Amino acid sequence: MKPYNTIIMNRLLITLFLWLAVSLPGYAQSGLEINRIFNGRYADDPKVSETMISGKNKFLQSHRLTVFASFKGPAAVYRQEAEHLVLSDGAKAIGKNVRYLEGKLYFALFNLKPVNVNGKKLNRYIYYLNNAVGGGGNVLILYLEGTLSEQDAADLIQSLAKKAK
Amino acid sequence: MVKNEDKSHPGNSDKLLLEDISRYFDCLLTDDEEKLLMRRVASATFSHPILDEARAVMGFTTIRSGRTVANTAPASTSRHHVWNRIAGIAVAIALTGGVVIGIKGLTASRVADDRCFAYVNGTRIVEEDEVLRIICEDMKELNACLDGNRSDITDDMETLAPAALCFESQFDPLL
Repeated sequence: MKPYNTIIMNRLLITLFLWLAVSLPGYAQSGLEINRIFNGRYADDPKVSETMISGKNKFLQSHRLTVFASFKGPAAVYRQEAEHLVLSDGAKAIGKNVRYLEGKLYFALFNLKPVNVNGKKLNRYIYYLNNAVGGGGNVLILYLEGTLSEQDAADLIQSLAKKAK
Repeated sequence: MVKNEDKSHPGNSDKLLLEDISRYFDCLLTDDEEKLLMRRVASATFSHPILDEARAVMGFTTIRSGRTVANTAPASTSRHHVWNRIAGIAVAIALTGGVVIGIKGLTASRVADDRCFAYVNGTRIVEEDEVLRIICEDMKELNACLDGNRSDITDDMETLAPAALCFESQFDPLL
């Protein structure tokens, strides 16, 4: 007969594994490598700007989005990491538009495999820009998630750009 | 090595027990002696009609000839059973709670939390208008690249088109 503390330990371990199995497939952007660069990880750097909008938000709803996240930082510091993360996620993409300039990744658009949430098919797009190659100084990652199409995403970027002063 | 005793026949100490039982039936025992006798009867390992009768009179409902000391005093085992039962209940509660919390967390996170913030110059901004202004600035850079991309592709196509036409003219499928 097993000692009762062994039985308790076994039961607790099973409970823990079950709980983890149920609760881990978490956040939007979950399972994506680019998640590592978001969530304020480099927020202390004054040269970094990060934005995150998710959930019930008028801006998101008006553009059929559920998540809008962007990261911009100096290419000299973040290019290597950003490129690595984006390409890691891009390896699993179902659609790609990748451009290299001077032997470096300059622009990338990855159309990731859609996810089903509450019966809705959500498309996911990752944009990457290293404008240091073109004379700028930043790398930019944009993550869009929602029911919008690839063309909608491009139109959204264009319309937002026009609003910039 | 201990020699196995034949438990079906009373030994000397058991004979004393039987005598005490007889005295019990004759009401010759004091209260303390009666209590002691009850314990001895409960733990007796041999079989005898008088012993069985005493057990019946004393209210021991289990009258088994092969009753052993181990069977009569399983205190530590029963404690383990109690602990097991408590542990089982605790684990069941934890499991149910964990699954409920996990499902809630899953639903909430898949639906996406309501968040709207930006980090600029090392400070956190939560005003939506300001966040959108920052987004617009960033999109300006990205859009310039997208425009450049489109013209690059168009340029590439324009370069390729004459070559494709030239290649096509050299190929006559009817030949």
